[in-house]
Amino acid sequence: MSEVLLEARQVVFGYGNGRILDGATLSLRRGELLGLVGPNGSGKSTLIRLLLGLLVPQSGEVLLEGVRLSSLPRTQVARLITLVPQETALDFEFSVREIVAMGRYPYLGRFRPEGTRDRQAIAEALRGTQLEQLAARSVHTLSGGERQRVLIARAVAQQTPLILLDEPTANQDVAHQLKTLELVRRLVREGRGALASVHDLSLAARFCDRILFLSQGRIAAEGTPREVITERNVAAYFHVQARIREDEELGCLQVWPVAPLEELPPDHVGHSGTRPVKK
Amino acid sequence: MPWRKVCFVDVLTCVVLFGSTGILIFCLGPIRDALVGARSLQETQIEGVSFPKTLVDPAGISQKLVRPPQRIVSTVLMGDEMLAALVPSERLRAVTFLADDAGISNCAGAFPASVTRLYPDLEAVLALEPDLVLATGYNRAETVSLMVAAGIPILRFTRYDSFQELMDNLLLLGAATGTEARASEVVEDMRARIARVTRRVQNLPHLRVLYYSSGGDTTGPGTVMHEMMEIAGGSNVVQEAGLRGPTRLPLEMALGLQPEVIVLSAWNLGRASDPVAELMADPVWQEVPAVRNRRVYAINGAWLTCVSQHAVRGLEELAALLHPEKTVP
Amino acid sequence: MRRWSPPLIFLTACVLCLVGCCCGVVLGNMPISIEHMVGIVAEALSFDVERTWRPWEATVLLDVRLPRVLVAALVGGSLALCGAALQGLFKNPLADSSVLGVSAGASLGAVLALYLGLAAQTVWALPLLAFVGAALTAFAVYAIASRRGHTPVGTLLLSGVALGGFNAAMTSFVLSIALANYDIGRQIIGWLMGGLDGRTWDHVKLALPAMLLGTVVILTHARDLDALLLGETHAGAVGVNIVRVRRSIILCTSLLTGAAVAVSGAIGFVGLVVPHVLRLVIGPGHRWLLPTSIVTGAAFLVLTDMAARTLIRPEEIRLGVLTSAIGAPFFIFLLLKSRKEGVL
Repeated sequence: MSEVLLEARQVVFGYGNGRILDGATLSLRRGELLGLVGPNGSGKSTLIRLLLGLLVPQSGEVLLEGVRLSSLPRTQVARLITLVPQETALDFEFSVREIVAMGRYPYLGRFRPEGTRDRQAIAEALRGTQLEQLAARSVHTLSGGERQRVLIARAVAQQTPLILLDEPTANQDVAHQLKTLELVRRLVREGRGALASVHDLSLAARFCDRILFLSQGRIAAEGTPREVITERNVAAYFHVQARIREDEELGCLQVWPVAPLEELPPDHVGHSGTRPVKK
Repeated sequence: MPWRKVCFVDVLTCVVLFGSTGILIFCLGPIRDALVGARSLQETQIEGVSFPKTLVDPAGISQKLVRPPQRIVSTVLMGDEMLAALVPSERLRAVTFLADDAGISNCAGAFPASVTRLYPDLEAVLALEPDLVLATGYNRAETVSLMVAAGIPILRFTRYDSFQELMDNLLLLGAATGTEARASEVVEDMRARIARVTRRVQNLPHLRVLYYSSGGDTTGPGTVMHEMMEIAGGSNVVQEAGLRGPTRLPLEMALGLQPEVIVLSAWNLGRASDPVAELMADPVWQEVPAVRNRRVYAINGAWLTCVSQHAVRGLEELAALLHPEKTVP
Repeated sequence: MRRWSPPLIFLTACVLCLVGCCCGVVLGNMPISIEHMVGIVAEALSFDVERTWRPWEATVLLDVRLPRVLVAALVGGSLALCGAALQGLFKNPLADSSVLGVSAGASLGAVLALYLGLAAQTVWALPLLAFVGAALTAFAVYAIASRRGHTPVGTLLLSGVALGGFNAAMTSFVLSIALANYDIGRQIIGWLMGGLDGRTWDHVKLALPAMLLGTVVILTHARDLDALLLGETHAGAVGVNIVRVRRSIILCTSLLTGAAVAVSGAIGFVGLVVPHVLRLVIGPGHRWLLPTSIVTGAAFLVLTDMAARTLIRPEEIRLGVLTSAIGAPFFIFLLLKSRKEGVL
């Protein structure tokens, strides 16, 4: 078990008087892919931004290699952890290579021109994400799935041991969803740690080493897919009655949502306090 | 608690914004009067009785006038008018392009073709290689510093709001051009004519006069026009409104002041326009004593708004109109 | 992707700028013969030359035309650079110096200097007050839009628009009460239309240090602007310190805008059109876009000023009027063209 690289302790965050995160705690290591699941509005994106240091928690702390994130300069943070954002405004006509090259910013700073190491890193990133053919094309002309790959390539070029991904499979067709997660899996196999927020429980169960359920601003459940993806948990946190079966060929769980459940007030969550909706 | 601090900054910002708006709206006028008033203590001066003389600009810069200038350039109409009376045209290189416009100039036809007519253009002024340039206080400071750096004496007229100041300007120009005798003559003529008017309207009741243009522009105390009205046996109603200088009078106030005489500027624009008839026909003005008694007059605008010796003509004309029984042509 | 080679375009712009400067010095209302010009320049460069020309020609060439052309180049370059930087910062191709209300603040300061009679007293009064107006507005915009170190872009733009409107309203107010005095009203209106008449070496000296500082700082932020174009999240992920970068760029663009407006009046469209066109030609990468914008903006304004001076001799077209007359239709043409192609 490698050492913990990124850690969040009792992180509290909200805008105004509301609270989105209320004491979230998690830890991320090399060599594992963490899946962050939770219904819409549970705060997944917020948590990811906090982990990167784009937002500052109101209480609690985020530690990177044991050091408080807020005390580290941004470029140093960017050498250790990066984010593949969900939406990126691509209104400007950059080429694929130019975008991937932006991943070298933490090493180049403002003044240094690109060196051999940088060019190598960029070339490897393009190769690893199978974008070599598209390197000179304008990002405008690519499909949604290809654009996502460009952003991942940028993260790869940044050569960080940790990668966060915000909904990497949203708005993509099935083929691209699988390709993206396989790519992330491969990056993890190469020694990185990754945390991805995933909305599809089956994909999460198939690709992730550990799953975190985010609910009510806290990590309500944590563990391997088999430990955590249970009908009871799905009912409690997603308010959905689901059927969960083991797929022997793939060797993982598959989740079939059956019917929505009526929501009970929050203090009932945690018990199987949901009633099936009358058909 | 962060709440408190946020509120304070918001309040401070609002105070600053509204405060600066308030200052601008209410205090700008007085600030300007204070600044401009303070500046008017300084004026152009000529030191020395005979050449070489020193010309001291209101900004404090001293320039040398080595000999009587022979290549004089005027960049303002008031300069043109004064030069026409004081300096022979052989010594003039250029006047403004307005000088020939009889509609606005009192010296149209006074200059031969050998004197260039200038559009406001720095290069053209420099190309004439003048040894004296006439300008006013409103010319930009950078132009002045350029002239000074190029060694060209520049004479700025900064005060022209009373007959005395107009006379001072003539004497100043006379000193600068070595035509003191001629300048004194012109000034004496002005004094004599003003005295004549004063004598004629002495002991006559002052009529309440309003000088008005269609845009509502008028003049309060601190202008030549105001002094004209007072000398000619009138009383400027604008001062009753508490206004000063060239200013605007809202229509309501103009009507409310109920002037006994109204004076308008007549401009020779070639249009067949009769400002007097227009005003008399305007229903809004019908109840004003001046209109009821048909005492609305138009005087040549070039006389009323000029700032040279020709202003005295406006004075004489005004006196004749206010008190026709007492004026002998 | 059809892109022209950035170094080539940059070089072309440099050549154009130099040619424009030479033409601007050579052409003018009063004809000066070429040999006289060569002689004057040679003498200025400390060569021993026999004086065949009149002194006024040297004054006109070196003290009237040359500083004017230099100011045109400096102002054009600064405004174009501001436009490029702000368009990158706000990810909005329609952003330029006026968006933050800073040029309006500079205008207000300058108009106050004219109205209070300070401008007639000393050369420095108007530029200084314009500067103060620009700086105060920049601080106010930033202060209004920031909470706990967080400055959302939308709020920044809105507070810029609001303060710009405030400044414009106050300028109109000062103008309205100034119009009672014909001379001052005329001066203010002339200034508001933008113009470079009467620019001297004093103006060059005034504007140059501020412009150099602002330019150097913005040029070093080329990579940050590139990253910011893809969104703040992306820029943060790559290690850009967004808060600091935004503050630096806003301060520097205010510095540049204040200095430019202080010496030239309100001139629009340069910051809008020049970077936009260049982006279409050489792509959005700021490493080339920023310096090329500077040189192209300089060339544009120098040539436009030349046209303003010579088209309707002996009178002058106000420079701000001419840049708008050229810039606005051109911009509409760009919009129509890109609308058809479906690109922003």
